[in-house]
Amino acid sequence: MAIGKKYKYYINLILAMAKKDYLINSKYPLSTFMSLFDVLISYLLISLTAFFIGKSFGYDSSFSASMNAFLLSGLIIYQFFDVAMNGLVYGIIVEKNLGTLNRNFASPAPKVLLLSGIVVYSFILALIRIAILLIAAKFLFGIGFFLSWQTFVFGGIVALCVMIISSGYGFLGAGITVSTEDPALYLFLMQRPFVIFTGVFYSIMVLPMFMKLISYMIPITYGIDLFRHLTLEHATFVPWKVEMLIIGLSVVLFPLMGILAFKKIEKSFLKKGTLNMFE
Amino acid sequence: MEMLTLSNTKINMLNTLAVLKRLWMIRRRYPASYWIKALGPLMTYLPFAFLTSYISRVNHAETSTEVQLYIFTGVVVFSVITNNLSDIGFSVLQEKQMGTLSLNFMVSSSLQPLMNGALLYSMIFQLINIGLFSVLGFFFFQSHITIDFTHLTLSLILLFLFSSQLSFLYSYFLLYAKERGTVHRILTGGLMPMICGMTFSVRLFPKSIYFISQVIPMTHLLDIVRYSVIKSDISETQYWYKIIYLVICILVLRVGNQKLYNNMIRRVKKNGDWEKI
Repeated sequence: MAIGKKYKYYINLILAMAKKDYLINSKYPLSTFMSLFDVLISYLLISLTAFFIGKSFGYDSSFSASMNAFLLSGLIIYQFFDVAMNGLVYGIIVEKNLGTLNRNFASPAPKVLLLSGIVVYSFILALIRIAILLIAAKFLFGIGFFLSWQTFVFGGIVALCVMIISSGYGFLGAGITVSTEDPALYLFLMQRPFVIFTGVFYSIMVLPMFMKLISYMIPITYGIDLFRHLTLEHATFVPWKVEMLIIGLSVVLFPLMGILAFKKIEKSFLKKGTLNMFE
Repeated sequence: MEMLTLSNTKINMLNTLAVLKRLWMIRRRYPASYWIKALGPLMTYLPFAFLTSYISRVNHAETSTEVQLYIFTGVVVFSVITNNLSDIGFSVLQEKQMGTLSLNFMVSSSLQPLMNGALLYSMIFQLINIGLFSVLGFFFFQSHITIDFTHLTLSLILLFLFSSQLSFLYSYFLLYAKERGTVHRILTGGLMPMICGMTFSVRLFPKSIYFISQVIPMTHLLDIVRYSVIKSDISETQYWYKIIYLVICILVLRVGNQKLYNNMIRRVKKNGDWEKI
């Protein structure tokens, strides 16, 4: 009974954080509304560029259809790692700016759950963005994604795995963001380089060798590749069973490592008394 | 007793320099923020460059340097515009959030020193960052570039004039609107680059969207800069027509900004508080 109550408290805590995020965002309707079309606009820009590049080689629209599906798959999975990785960091930045970070961290509630609550709202928004993206791709370019329920289920499982792995980076990033003065440090180190290294818009095979080595060290790269293999039947750059193994191990190890890193950083700033000193 | 008197121009100039120094001191506290901006053009360009390589590879074709250069110039032009917008717009927004906007206004009875200081800051750092990025890029692409220095100088002057006027307009928008930076990110990171053809030719668009893209001055800015450095699909006559159109746009923006500013001052005098715009 006591355990049941404890879990109920945890769920309520996550929902309360998500609701708070919703209330904050509802104060900025223009920003919230436009953020729903964020990925769609990126998709249009990149697919038009791909079409332009293809046209310069003299290829027709059939070429563009397969390329579009390739780009679409990258953007869908990008949403999942963006939610867990950047959502956590942006959430911390918002809390810092609002001045509520101290209060949240002073409460006896588990910090990991507080942070997870921040992601819930972003996750719902991400699902809406993906739905808008898929509908627009169907109507504008006639591209159907998730043609069977199997691709939907297996693709969904891989996407969720990518999200869980990314949360490891997110927790680490949250720790860095809380303890440093510069909010862009984490974004500089991870957000933008990850787009380049993980092959969201292309296969990492085109990267120079030294960049490729970095890509191989990021498990999200395998997630994107496996997602493409399951949904578009693209050939993987290592056997798909190996990719599954890497993803399976990372799903367990990365969040744990992220949480441990976050707790270590948290401990150090609680000891020094520097929590939220750099608002 | 001798009184120290300073003319309005001198006060404005000193305040502009003070703002510049203050911005430098604020930004110095955030080195990663500086570096993310400095490397921004490269980070924007690289995914497109690798996308070009990927498409070439898929189609067993050689990577087209002309296409990469086309994308590169687009990224440079848009980086200038985006950095100007964020440097000036967010400087004003930051003052509003810190509650020091009225203080700025009271010192010199105008917001111009604040805006000009932010503009000066933006220009200096863009000359260093984007200048370096462009030189490196042009060095890399040198065999494919045919620079016409007269055209390029004129194009760059118009680029800076247009982007600074647009930034002033944007900062007024930020003062009015309840916005958290998302609109900025979408406009400059996706919507505008897409409609204006940052990484592709707008001739790919259907007629209606092509017409919209031709109304937007940034499309023509991209065209004239590209015309100055690479073989472009516009003629010399079209180049000059685009210059005239851009000059008109800059003048319209200048007058519009002045009117908006006066309107804002009237509002503030009524409310008695800058933070309540």
